[in-house]
This record gives sequence, C-alpha cells and structure tokens, in this order.
Amino acid sequence: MESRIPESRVDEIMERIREEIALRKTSERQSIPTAEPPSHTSSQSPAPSLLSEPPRLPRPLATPALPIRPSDTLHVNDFLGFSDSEFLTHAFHGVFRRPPQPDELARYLELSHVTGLPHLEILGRLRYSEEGKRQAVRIEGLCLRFHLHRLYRSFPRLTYFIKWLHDFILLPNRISALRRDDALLRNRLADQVEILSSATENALQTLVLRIDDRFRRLENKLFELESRIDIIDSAKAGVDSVDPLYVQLTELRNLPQEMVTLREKFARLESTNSPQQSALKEIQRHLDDLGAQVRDDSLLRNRLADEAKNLSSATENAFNTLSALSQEMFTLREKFARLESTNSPQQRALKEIQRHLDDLGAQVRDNKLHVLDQQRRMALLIEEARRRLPKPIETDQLESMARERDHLLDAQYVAFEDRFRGTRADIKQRQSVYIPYIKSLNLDIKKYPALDIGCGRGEWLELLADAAIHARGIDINRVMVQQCRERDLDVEEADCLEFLRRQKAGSLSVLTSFHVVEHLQHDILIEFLDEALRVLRPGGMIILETPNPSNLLVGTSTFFLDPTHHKPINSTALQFLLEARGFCRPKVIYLHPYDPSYRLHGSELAERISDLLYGPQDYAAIGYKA
Amino acid sequence: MKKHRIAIVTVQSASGEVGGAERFYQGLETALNAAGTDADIISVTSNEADFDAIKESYLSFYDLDLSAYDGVISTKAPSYVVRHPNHICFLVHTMRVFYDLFEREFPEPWKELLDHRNLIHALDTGSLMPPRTKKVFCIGHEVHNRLLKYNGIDAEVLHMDLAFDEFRSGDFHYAFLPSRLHRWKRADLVIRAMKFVNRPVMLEIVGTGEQEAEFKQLAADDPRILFLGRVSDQELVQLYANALVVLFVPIREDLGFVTLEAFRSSKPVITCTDSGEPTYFVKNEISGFICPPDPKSIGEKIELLHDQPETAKRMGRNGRRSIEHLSWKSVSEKLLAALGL
Repeated sequence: MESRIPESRVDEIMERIREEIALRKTSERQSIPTAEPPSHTSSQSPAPSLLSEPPRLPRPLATPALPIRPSDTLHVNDFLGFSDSEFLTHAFHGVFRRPPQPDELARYLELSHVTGLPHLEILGRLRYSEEGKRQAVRIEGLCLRFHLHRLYRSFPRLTYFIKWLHDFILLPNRISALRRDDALLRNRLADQVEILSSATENALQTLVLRIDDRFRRLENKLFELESRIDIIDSAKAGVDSVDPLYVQLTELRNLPQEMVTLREKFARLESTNSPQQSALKEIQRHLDDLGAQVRDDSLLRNRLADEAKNLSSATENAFNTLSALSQEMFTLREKFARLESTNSPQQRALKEIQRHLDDLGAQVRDNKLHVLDQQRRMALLIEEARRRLPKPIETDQLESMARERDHLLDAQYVAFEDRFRGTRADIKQRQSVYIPYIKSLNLDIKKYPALDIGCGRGEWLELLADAAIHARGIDINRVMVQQCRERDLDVEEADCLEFLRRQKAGSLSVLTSFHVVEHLQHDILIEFLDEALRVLRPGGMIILETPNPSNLLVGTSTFFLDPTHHKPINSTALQFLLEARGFCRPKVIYLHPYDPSYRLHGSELAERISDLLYGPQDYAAIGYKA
Repeated sequence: MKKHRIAIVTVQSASGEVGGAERFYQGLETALNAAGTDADIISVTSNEADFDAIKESYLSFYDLDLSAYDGVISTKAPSYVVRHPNHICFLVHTMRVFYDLFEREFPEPWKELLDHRNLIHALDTGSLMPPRTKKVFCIGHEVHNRLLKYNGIDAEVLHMDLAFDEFRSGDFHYAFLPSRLHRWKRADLVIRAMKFVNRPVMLEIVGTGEQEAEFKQLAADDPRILFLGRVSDQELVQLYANALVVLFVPIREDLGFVTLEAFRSSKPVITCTDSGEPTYFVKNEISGFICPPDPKSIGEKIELLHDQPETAKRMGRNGRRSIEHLSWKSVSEKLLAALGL
C-alpha cells in the first residue's frame, strides 16, 4: 500500500472518507431522530458548535407510522388508536390497498365525527363492503368484535348483558394488555425524559457559554468606550494645555545650557568631594536623564506642531513628562544650592586647586612661547648654516634639511588635531562605518594587509586591529607616528608617494586615507591615485574620506580651520577622478551630518536650508580595483 | 475572443476571520482580471474544529464542480484537492498543525493522531503532484522549505506585491512597530530592547491583540513607548512615512507584508534570525539588520540608526530598490503561463 504512488491513493482515500461521513450522518440521524437532512450545498454543514449555532432541542417523539405490509396478517389493534384521518388512511390502505378518495374520506370523517361511529365499526364496514370482500384481507380479531358491535347497536336492550359478558371474557386480556402498555409507556417516558434532560443540559451549557461570550464582548465594548472617552478627555486636556506647554517648552529649551554649567560645576565639585560623591553621581544621573528627556521633548514638540492627530495622546504624555521634568529640575536646583552652600571646606580646596591650575596654565603658556622662540631660532640657524656652507650642499643633505624644517610644525599640528578633529572615541565611532566594507572584501588580508595613509593618531588602525584585520599605517608627522608606536601600532614615518612607490604591485588589499587628499596638490593627488591602483590587489578597495564642501558651513568656513588644507574637493569630482584613474564601481557615501537638533522644520524652505547647512560634513569616495 | 474563466479557490475560515490572506486573494483576482481573464474567487467555508470536520472539508473541496472554468488556482489547505484537468496551486500554507507545529502541539502523539497525520500527508502530497496539480507555486521560502521537507515537492517561490500601495517616505523620527499584539509576533522583544536604547527615540506601536495588556504593563515605566491601538489605513501610511526604522520580529513568519510596507516607505527593517520570510527580504547591514532574537542586539541597532540617520536613509533606499521588481503583473503572467492560458 505504501509503495503505491501517492497520487493514485487520493481518490481511494477520498472515497473512504465519503463513506465514513455518510455512515456517520446516518447514525447521527438515527440516534437523534430530528437531525436535519444532509444539505447538498457546496458549503457543508459542520457538526454544531456550541458557540456559533443556536441549540437544537429534540422534538417530542411522533407516533410511529403504521407499517402497512399487505402480505402480512393484520390485527385489528394495528388500526386502532389513531386520529380520525390517520385511521382512515391506514384503514383504506389495509383493507382496499389503495388510498381513500377525497369524497370517501369526507364521508367517513363525517360518519365518525357526526354520528360518533367507532373506528372499529368503520373498519368492519370497510372490510365487509363489496370492495373489502373482493380484497379479502385477513384482519385478526375484527370479525367477532365487529359483529358484536353491530349486534350491540341493533339490539340496544341486550347491551348490558352482552357488554358485561364481553368485558368479563376479555378481562384477563385487558389487564395484561394494560400492563404491557403501562410498561411500554413508562419506558418511553423514561427515554423522553432522558433525552429532554440531556438536551436541556446542552442547551443550558450553550446558553451559559453564549451569555459568557456576550458578556465578554460587552465588557470589551465598554472598555473600548472608556478608552475612547479617555482619548476625548485627554484630547480636550491636550488642546487646553498646548499654550502653556509651548511656554514651558521654550523655557525648557534653555535648560540644556543651564545644565552644562551645572554639570561643569559638578565635575569640579566631584573631584574633591569623596563623601558627597554618591549623592553627586545620583544627581549626575538625574541630569543625564533630564538631558535625554529634554531632547526627547523637543522632538515631541516638532511632532506636536506637525500632526494635530497625535495631539490627543502625545500631548498628554508630553505634558505630564514636562511637568514632572520641571518639578525634578526645580528640586535638583534646590538640592544643588543646598549642596553648594554646605560645602565651604571643599570650596576652599577647590579654590586652591584652581589657583594651582592657573599657575600651571601660565607655565604652559610660557613654555609654549619658549618653544616657539626656539623653533624660530632653529629655522634661522639652519638657514644661516645653509648659507655659510663653503661648498654647494649635496641634494640629499638639502632634502634632509628640508625635511627637518617640515617637522618643525609637527607638534603644533598634533595640538591642532586634538583641538579640532575630535576625541579618539568620536573618531573611532565615526570610522566604524567602514569596517563592514572591509569585511565584505573577498581577499586574504593576512597576506595582503591594509594600509592607512596619514594614519594620524591611529584610531582607524586600532579599529582594524579590534576587528582582527591586519593593517599598517604611515604618517608624515613624526609626533603622530610616535604616539601610534606608543600604542603598539605598526606605523612608519614616511611620505605617502615615496612609500607607495616602494611597495610591490598588488601587495595590498585595502588602502584608506582619511582627511589627506584635501592637503594634496592636484598633480600629486593624481599620482597618488595611480600608485594606489598599482599597489592594490584586484578586488581591493580604496577609501578616501575628506570634508564635504557641499555643506555650506564646511565649504565656506570649517574647511579653512586647518591651514595646511590645500583645497576642498567636490564629491562628484573625486568620484570622477577615481573612475578616470581606473578604479571601478566608484561611489560616494555621505557622513557626519550635524546633530538633528540643529535642523529647522516647518516648511520646505526650512528643510532645504537645513540640508545645506546641517547636512553631511564629510564624505568618503570608495573605489575598487577590477 | 472569449475571455478565459479562472477560478481562484479559497478557504474561508468558519470563524470569519479576515487577515493578510484575504488581501492576497483580492490582489490575485485584480491582477488576473487586469491580465484580461475573467477570474472569480470561489470561497468555501472550512471548519477545522476536529478531525471529522477536517475530513468533511477535504471532501467538500474534492466534490467542488469547477467544470465551467478553463483554469483553477487553489490556495490554502485543503483547496488543492479540487479535481480539474487544468489546476495549479499558489500555496499559502498546508495545515501546519499536521506539519511543523505537530510536535510542538502534540509532544506525545497517540496512534490515532499519527494516523490522522499520515492521512493528511498522503492526501496533500498526492493532490499537489501532477497530474492532479500541474505546478505548485508558494508565497515564500518558509512554505517552500516546509513543502520540500514534508511532502518532497519543490514549489516555486513567487513573491507578490502589496495589494494596497500608498506608501511614501517622510522624516526619520521614531522606531515603529506595526504588529498584532500576539506572543508569536513578539512585540515584547522590542519593548525590552528599548531598555538598552539610551537615546531619546520613541517607540510607536500600532495594533491590538491578545497580549495587549501584558505588553502595556511591560512598557509602563518607559514614557518613550506609545501604544496607538488600531489606526486607519491613512494613519498607517503616515506612521510608516515618518519612522526612523520599522521593527518586525515575529517567530517564523510565512510572509508578512510589514517588510514590504516598510520598504515601500523607504525605511530600514530590523528583524530576527528566526523570523522566517522577512530574513529573505532584509539584507543584513544593507537594507536593515537581522539580529539574534535578544533585546540587547535589537536595542543596539536602534541606537545605531538613531545616531546615523544617513545610514537609516541609505538602508531604506536600498530596501525600496530591493522590492522594486515585485509586481502583481509578473505574478499573473507566471500563473497564466503555468495554466497555459
């Protein structure tokens, strides 16, 4: 059976199911005599489910139909005990083997109703009519009883005696018949009671379930209504509270500034204040939360203005949060005031430290001036030495001198970077976007490492090391190189073109260069790209990150913070250059937009201006070697 | 020329529930009519209350007279037992309780139950093979893999488009979770993820369901989480339009229009490794993120997208492009080709 093709089994199984269902339906119909006939619609009638359909109560048992079997012997009792019309139908069938004609039916009905002729006598008349005699159906017990009846009707005076005699003779029969009927009735009654009680129970259960269900639904409706009322209420409250909300919001906008000052003061306090530290940290955390929530709320405000629809729910939330916030702020301020006033010994210590710091600052300034002076003198000296040398200096000597001159400003550039480029953590966080690109390369990076040109303080190299990507870096700035080495990074002090020229073709898988190309002359940049293409493996990639002059603030201002910058490079131009110098699939990704809180909203103009001013500040051009 | 008549045979559940499948039937009918055929949805009520009812369901589809049609497309179990010489199936699903959910529902099955399962397997496998069914398509990889595993039938995955498409892109503000609030859809995972989101980003949740109270309780102490209940189609479009990211983290979803709706709105989607079909649509780190199903990973991704709205925009664009090829036209073309009409 299992070895047969499943497809051919479908019909067989379906036919079996058809039989099963037919069988089940018949047996259901027998056990519950009121089952409805099977429906022949396409949507089949499933077994009644308690929830979905009204309960069906079984009707009381109908009188069983008389089994008319003409060939069998009939007994007179078979015909008795029916209503008039039923009796007549049976009697005609039994005696004449045909249904009664309408006129016959009417005649006999009248006879029975009006003259009160007993059924027995009607049956007898039928049987012993001409037609009845022709059919000659044998009906046991009819002959004697019919003729006795006739006798009794024709000689009414004899009746008492005959009746008595008749009854006396039939008494034992009657009694046993009565007993039989009694038992039968009792059984039937018991059956009916049972059926009824089970049906009632079912019906009750169903009712309970349905009531439960209704109740649940009602409850849900109620719930829904209540929540709607809440919404309406809160909408009303929201509308009322919008104006004060705006005022509060504008007040709250100044909070961040206030918080910054507060936090600075805290930081100072904290450093000298071990007993108060736990309390301070608590407050610090509150302040941080507060900061987040205040930003959050400015977001909410924008949405409030935009979407009147959200007012109803959002306003209430925002309002609650805000009032809680201002309350919290108030208590914080109070706490802080109290803290500050109770802190005089610490304050003295603070002032002391401040004085020390001031002294130190002065010293640093002096040192700086001193160093600058030294630098100037050195430059003069070198210049002087160059002039005084008796014979022309060899080219390499000149070069090395020139190089030394170049390095005079290295330290200053490091200071510059520290001030303007951002913290290590910032840079690493920003540069982490590139890691997936590197990981998606299908090259053996162990064999063909990554190279970072102008590695600076080595943030990227550290990121790569964290991601287990083999990499080295070069930088022209000696101080930076020194810093990198202190961090155990593989970095060399070298000029990028010189270094690239020394590398074998196809020896690197990735070449990155962050904020370098804007320092290069155009022809140097071209040579740099050509060398880069040469040293990359096929499939390798180049990433060049540089300031995005399409951002107006960058293009007009911040780009020129760095005096060593040569010229801003337009992203389309750099993408084109990559393509022109032989890189394939060049693309640009835009990075580092201003914090969204800078953006203006409310009109298309505001959005467009925001795009121009607060859009991406940097971009990266990416290309692959085919 | 006379139009070809096509019957789309569908199953209407006895409880009258309407969901994604009904939108699917509508879309299919519209697409077939647009392709110049005369398509009707033939919907038959099916009761899966007990095994006898299931057998009757099978029989009522088996006995369905579809001789008036030139082609028949069946959909959900057990509509594919129909008898027609030109019958293909675009399978939504078989009765999962006899397949992948069997072991979970009946850890210790008794013999009769195993017999029932064998019977269903035999009927399904037999019905979905030629010559009873000329070709089987299915709505996604989850269904495809199940059909291959249990019935040995290699169906063709046919992704359809949204039946309703007004979606557009706006700003990038909040994390958005459109979801029936049912344990299989795991809104709780996202609510828990917010505990790891240390940024002023809102989580807006649309939908109702059995676990609503439970989820609200869970979110009670985070004012950034909003429950918006049931919303109109227009509001839904609006909510998608201004979302920063759409979260869709069900357990082994068969299809899930949420991914498509999010992508149509140019939003990145965060889904989970065990979410089923969405993982075939979302490309990790390209059009969203496929995270392990734990709150911390999800929270990290929400933070990341909040910090880098450019990334969110780029991923959203990638998502939109990735589903540009989906169309009802190509679906109807494939179906009609399989029917030879």
